[in-house]
Amino acid sequence: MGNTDDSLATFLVEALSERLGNITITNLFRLTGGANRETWSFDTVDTDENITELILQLDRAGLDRLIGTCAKESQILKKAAKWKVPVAAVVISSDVPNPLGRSFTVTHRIQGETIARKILRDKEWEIARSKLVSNCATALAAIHAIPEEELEELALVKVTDSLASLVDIYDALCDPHPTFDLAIRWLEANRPEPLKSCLVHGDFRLGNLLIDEDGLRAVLDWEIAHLGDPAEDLGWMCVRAWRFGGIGKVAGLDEYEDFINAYEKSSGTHVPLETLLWWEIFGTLRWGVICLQMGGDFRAGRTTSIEMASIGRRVAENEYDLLSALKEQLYEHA
Amino acid sequence: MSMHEKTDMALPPKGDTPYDAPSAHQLIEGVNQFISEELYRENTQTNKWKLRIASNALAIAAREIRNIHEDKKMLKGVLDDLEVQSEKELSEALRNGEFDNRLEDIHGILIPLVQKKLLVANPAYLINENDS
Repeated sequence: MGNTDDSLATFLVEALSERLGNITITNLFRLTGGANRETWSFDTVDTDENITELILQLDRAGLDRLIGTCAKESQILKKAAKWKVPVAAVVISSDVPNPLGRSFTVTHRIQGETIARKILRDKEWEIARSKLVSNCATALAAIHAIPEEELEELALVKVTDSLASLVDIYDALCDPHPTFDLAIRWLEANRPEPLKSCLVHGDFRLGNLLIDEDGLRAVLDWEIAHLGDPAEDLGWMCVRAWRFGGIGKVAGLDEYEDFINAYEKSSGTHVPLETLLWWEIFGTLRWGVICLQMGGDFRAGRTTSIEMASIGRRVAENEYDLLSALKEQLYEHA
Repeated sequence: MSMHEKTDMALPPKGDTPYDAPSAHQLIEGVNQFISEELYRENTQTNKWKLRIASNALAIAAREIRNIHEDKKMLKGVLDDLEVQSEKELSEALRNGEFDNRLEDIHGILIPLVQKKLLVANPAYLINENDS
C-alpha cells in the first residue's frame, strides 16, 4: 500500500472499530469509474478471522457542490431498504467535519457487476439481461411508492418544475448552446401532465445498477435523489448515453412499451408514451448540461481530472441526440 | 555520400510556420501513440482505463487542430445567414421565441454544426447510431 492507502486504512480501522471491533484492513484498492466520487473496495478481518467485505465512498475532494453528498445518501439508503428497494446495507457514514475532511459512507459489498458494457454483452449476464428492465420497473415502483412523510426528516430538495430548475443551472453556466435552447423551447411548449410528487432516484440507469446472474441486486448512487415527478426516473433510463451501445431504447435492452407495461404492473400507474419521450428528451438535455458543468469544473480549475475535462466534450453527443429526437417531434408530429 | 543518398535525407515539408517541427499536431499524435501503445501495454487495468481517457483527450486535441479553421468558417457562415453575431445571440433569440415560426429551419441548420463538433469530439458517435 502507498502512503495515501496507509492513512486511509488507519482511518477506517478507527472509524469502524465501534461497529466491527478490533479489525485490520486488507485488500484496500480504489475502483475505477464515478466522476463525482471516490470508491474504494476493502475487507476487514477481526480477531476471530471473520472477514467482512465492504465499500467506502467518499465525496471527491475540491468540489464544493458535492460536500456532504455521501452522508446524505446513507440516510436515503436506509429509508429505501426499509421500503424493499434493493440497496447495499449501510455500515457507517459521516458528514464533515471528520478526520478525513470529506463526507463518506461504508456499505456492505455485494458481489455482482455494474459495468454496463459487460452487462449488455457478456454471456454470463444473459439471464440477468432478460429480467433487468422488468426488475428495474419493480425497483422504481418501490422507490416511487415510499410515502413522502417518511422522507420529511431528510429535507430532500423538492423539484416542482424540473425544466425551470435545469434551465436555471444552464443559464448560470453562461455557455450558450443553441441546440439546448431549441430543446428548451420545445420542452416548454410540450409539457406533459405531472404524474405525482414522490422520491425520485435521479440517476437510475445502467452503471448505477449492480446485477448478478439472476438480475438486479442493488440500486447504487443516490447522491441526487430528490422529490419530483416519477416519470423523470423512467425517461432518464431511456437516454441514449445510458444505452451504452445497446439497441433497445430502454437501457439498451428493451422497447418503450415493455418498460411502460412493467412499470404499470408494479406501480399501478400508466405512463403515456408521450410523457416518457418528453422526459427522455429532458434527460438528454439534462445530461448535456451536466457534461457542460463537469467540463466547466476543469475549465475553472476546480479539478485537474482529465476524465472531467473529457466529459466536457461529450456535450456534442447530447446536442446530436436532442436534434435526432426533436427531428421526430418537429417534423413527424407537425 | 552519394547524391542519391542525400536526396533520401530530405525532411518532410513543415509548411508555413514560424516554429520548428514536429508540429503541435504531430507532437500530440506522437504522445498519444506513446500512451496508447507503449504505456498501455506496461500498465495495470486501473491505469489502462486512465490512459484510455488521456489518449482520447489527445485524439480530440489533434482532430481540433486539424479541423478548426474550416469549422470556424462554417460556424461564421451559419451565424451570418441567420443575421446573428454569435451563438449566444442565436441562443437568446431561440429562447425568446424569435425563431418560433421556423424551428424546422433552425433544426436543419444546427445539424451540420453539431456533426462538425462530433467529428472532433467523438467521430464514432456518428458512425454508429447505436453506440455511445
